[in-house]
Amino acid sequence: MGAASNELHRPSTGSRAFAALVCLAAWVVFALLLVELARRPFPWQFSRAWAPSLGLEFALRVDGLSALMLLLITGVGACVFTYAAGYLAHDPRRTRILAQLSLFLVAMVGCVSADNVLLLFLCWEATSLLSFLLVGTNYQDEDARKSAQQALFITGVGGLFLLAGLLLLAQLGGSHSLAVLLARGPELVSEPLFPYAFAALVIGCMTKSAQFPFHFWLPNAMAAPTPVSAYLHSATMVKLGVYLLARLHVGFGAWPGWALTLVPIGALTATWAMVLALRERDLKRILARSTVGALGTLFMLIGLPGEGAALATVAFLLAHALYKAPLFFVAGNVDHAVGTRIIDRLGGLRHALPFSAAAALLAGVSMAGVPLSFGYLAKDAIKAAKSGSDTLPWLLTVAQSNRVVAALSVAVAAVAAVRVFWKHPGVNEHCDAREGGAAMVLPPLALACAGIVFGLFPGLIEPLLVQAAGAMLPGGAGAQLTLGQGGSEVLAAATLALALGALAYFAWDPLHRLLERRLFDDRFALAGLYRAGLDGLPRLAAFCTRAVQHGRLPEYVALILALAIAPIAAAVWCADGVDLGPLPAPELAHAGAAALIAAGALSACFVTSRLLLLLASGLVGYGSAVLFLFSGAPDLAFTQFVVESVFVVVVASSLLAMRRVTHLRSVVEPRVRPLAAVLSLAFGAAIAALVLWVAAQPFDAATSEYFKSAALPQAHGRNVVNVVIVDFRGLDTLGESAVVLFSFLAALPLLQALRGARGRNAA
Amino acid sequence: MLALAPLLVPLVTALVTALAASRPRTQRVLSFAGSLAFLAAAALLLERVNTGETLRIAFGAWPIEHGIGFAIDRLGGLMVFVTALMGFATLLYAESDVDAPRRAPYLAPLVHGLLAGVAASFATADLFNLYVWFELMLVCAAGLLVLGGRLRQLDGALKYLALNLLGTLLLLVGVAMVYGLTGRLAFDELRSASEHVAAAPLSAVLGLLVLALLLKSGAFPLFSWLPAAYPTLPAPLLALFAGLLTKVGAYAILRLVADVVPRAPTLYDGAFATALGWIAAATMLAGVLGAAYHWDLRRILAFHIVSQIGYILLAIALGSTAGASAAIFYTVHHIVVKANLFLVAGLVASATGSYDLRRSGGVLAARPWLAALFAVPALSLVGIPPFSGFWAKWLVLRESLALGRYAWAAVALLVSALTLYSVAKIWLEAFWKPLPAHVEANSAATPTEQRPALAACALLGLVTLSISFAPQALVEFADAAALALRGGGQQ
Repeated sequence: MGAASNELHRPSTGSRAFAALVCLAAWVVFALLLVELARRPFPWQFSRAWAPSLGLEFALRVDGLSALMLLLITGVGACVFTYAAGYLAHDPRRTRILAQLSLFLVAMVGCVSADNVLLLFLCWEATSLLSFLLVGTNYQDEDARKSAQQALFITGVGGLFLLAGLLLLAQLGGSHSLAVLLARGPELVSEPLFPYAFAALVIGCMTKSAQFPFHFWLPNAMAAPTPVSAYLHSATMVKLGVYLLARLHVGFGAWPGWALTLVPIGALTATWAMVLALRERDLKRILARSTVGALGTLFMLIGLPGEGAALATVAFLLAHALYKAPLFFVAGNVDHAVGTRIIDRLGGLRHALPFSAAAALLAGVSMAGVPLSFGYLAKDAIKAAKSGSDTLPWLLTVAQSNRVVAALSVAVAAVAAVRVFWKHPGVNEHCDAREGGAAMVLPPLALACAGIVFGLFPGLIEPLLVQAAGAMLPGGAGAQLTLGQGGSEVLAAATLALALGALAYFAWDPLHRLLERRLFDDRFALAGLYRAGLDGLPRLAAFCTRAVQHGRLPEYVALILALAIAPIAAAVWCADGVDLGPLPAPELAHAGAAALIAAGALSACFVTSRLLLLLASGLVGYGSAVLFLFSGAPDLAFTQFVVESVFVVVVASSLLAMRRVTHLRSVVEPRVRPLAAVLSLAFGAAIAALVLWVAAQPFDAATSEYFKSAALPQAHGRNVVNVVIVDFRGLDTLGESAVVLFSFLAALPLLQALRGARGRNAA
Repeated sequence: MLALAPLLVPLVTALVTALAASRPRTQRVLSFAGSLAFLAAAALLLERVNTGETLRIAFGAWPIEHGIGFAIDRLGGLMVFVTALMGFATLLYAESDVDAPRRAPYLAPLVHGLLAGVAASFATADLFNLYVWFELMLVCAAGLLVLGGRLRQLDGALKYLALNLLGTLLLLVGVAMVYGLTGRLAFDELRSASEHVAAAPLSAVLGLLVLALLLKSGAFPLFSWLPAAYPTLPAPLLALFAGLLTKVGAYAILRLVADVVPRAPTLYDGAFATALGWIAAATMLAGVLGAAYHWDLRRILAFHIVSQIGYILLAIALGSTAGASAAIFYTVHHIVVKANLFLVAGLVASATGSYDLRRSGGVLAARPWLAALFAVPALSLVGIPPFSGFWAKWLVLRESLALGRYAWAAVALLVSALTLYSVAKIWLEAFWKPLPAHVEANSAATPTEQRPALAACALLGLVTLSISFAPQALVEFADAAALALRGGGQQ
């Protein structure tokens, strides 16, 4: 995309060196992996303590299944890096994209070799995050941002489901090691909570692997540059869900719910995605739809019982990566050379892009499942899996939907490989189109050739596949599995698929028009629901927030008072009986102070001027100060007087400032609000009741006795209250003095600000 | 004497900076010297408590059961250290021109006074004394809120004052009633005395106390003062408030229910924890929905404080030692991350000219390093592994599931998803989206001196990264701190 528009940008030396380094590193890692594969038997293990209290351990474990994924990640990765270096040669963002891709490779390697569930989740989230960044490469474009956001939300929410599932599983199994958990699989499945853990895990895998009804994010993720699409959204990241389920298969595959869940999901996803592929015009989106189809097939295969299904899973996993990545590369080459990916405007490019055409043809052959390609062997394995003897009849019926998928795959392969290169040009000739250089031609050719070579010489890859399948099966089963067992029956099925696919290919345009008119993805898929949710969330948030955070202070206060009654009322309700004891007669001074407080409070209710209101409330404070005064605590009373005064000044200046701007002269609320009156009375009653209730309890007077006894001999003071304040509890007094001081400091700037404002007004 | 440092150092600093108010340069030097001394003392304190020692001091050398004492255990020491760190970061940031609070002569004294109140709350071992420090915090916070005296500030400050005074009042009633029931105020004495008190009135009193503290911590539905007042503050003060203030309330709840009166007879024992748990769940949801609703960076982040407080309260509500440990880990992680987010938000706003995401954009292209500074705390807030927030959430989730609180765990996960939504919104709007055409570029208003602000953000980012990649140390510390709480040993 961006590559064409930045033709003038010349990569700097640093950028070129970085690109070369990244590619070299990827190839070296791939080569080292090959050497290790030949040298060391599985499993490879490594572990290092990280944070044992959290259950986090840097524990890696590589068996056949992990090794197959590693091979894909590093092998396809090396090709993608090379391709990206060429594809983005004139793009100023090349360094950033390559750096993100490298991080992504590391995260993927971690994901498929992690044995610790936390480490697995860590890497899993890292891939989601990097996918978000990479899909949003063209972040200036709103569509790219939307697509990135969608990919992030779907996989992010799925990640949380995965987290819940892993957490439950770890809790049930008492370990954070996947290997240990899987070994305990047969016991775990009988736990009552296991179905929930399983459901959470499956949802996590479904989002990552774009299963129905979460499939819609993947085609939209095609906003990413083509190398990114080829790597993340076809060959590796979207296979993580498949990988994790395959990993779990050994422990939980025998649980009845396993097949019951996965087979229908996979079959539905695959069929629906292939139908939707017919609706697309954009070459990359067509490929993305068919990727969803392949992922659905993989889900179904994992769900099918039997050893053959395991072999079919890993074989198809490899086959898909080997044909889909080159097809993406080719789509990128076409886009790069012609400037469009809309198939109506493409055709007859075989002369302009001969190597791309060759790569597309080879990959297409494998995708269509033509004999002698690796795709054919995968198809053969799938056929064998479906005819496993222990397969339930209803599963077989569901699995038959795979025929439709196979036929439509043929059609997609033909569109990507034949139509673009061999069909007569649709709208315009592309005489100036050229190949983009070796870096853009060799990677697709290499991967596509691998797909053919493995088909011709299955022995090259068969040992690894058998070990990968063995890792999915309990008790070392599956050692005797071999590829290419099916005979004429498979050949017949493949021929049928080819014929049907050819039919679909030739009827592509009418089918497309039909589907475009008749089928509305948005209504059937969650894409519309997602959009509605995304639009609805702010509305819901607005509704809730306005209800809670309405900004009306009196209501906030009312809520607090109402809630303060609650614990007291609850305690009274639960208590056997509340004995308040005999009520003592109040002293005169106390009664007078109480009257002052009451007068202040009542006048506050009926005064409309805000300032008078404030003064009335100040009266309440002074009343309580008087109360202190006559309870033998003059010092406390003094503090109360000061704090009350400062408070009145601060609030009064706030009010004055507000009045100056808003011209609010008085309180406009009604004088008596029945609800508020009831609430106030209830609150007062509750607090009064609490005080009486507490006072009626026996009091342990040890502290006050100690104060009385120690005041004179040790503290040399006759006034016990004063000694309490300045000595026994002198720290409180220090704190209160600080409060007074800071009240002053707090009020000062306000008063200064007011004076300044007045000065400005006067001027 | 070291036990006295959390109160004395910031309080003395506040006094001398107040006296030097007319000499800005001297005040600055004194303020920084005080802040560094506080940080050093807090570090020493942390080292001491890490051996398992509880540093005690009885004021006036009166017997601890009748006088006031400070007792700094692992939990208190850790919180004091984080307080000192936040104070330093805030003052450092305020040295820049980024969203600077008006050069107010009483800024430094009020900040140090606030720190004194916060740190003393963590250090004190006396219930009434705790109330005093709450009051000190309230007054200093109110003073900082009205600094500058703009109208928008005053409205927020008024709500803050009114609602928090009400909370303080309820707290005072609760403290007085506790004394009335037990005749004690010192934590150590209350622990045993509360076991012999009639259950019914004690339940009422404790309920009232916890309610007051919930208001202080910004729990649902009592948090309305927080989003009303906080967004009116300039970035560094906002970071200080956001990091510390609500956490004192949460700390006090933890101290109270897990340490001081864990074995007190109450009428609604299980119901109490359950109620607290559901309040926590509602707090998480209400906060994150508020964040999803708003477009102002400061409001979004202010609501995130509320939702994150919910996680901490949830961990406390679990009631087990592991729950308390999770709460401690979460609190420390969250203080650093939340303060840092506000600091970075200040830089973002100064780069685009607005806190409003609709009028903001293009930050990634203009200042890529700002994206890195934002990414660390933001990813941590969302809870993306391996950032500290993930470990915090993992601890809470693990313990909720272990105790069979599945519904709370589900709410916690849902809130995580919504947090992802609102943080992604910030990223998409401020960092990715190009600056809207109708908003003129804000190059003229770009502050000249940004380095202190960047240093403060980088410092807090490094703290988060070290917690993220080496969580074991903090988890072990939190475990030990939780185990040392008297109520914890039982579970």
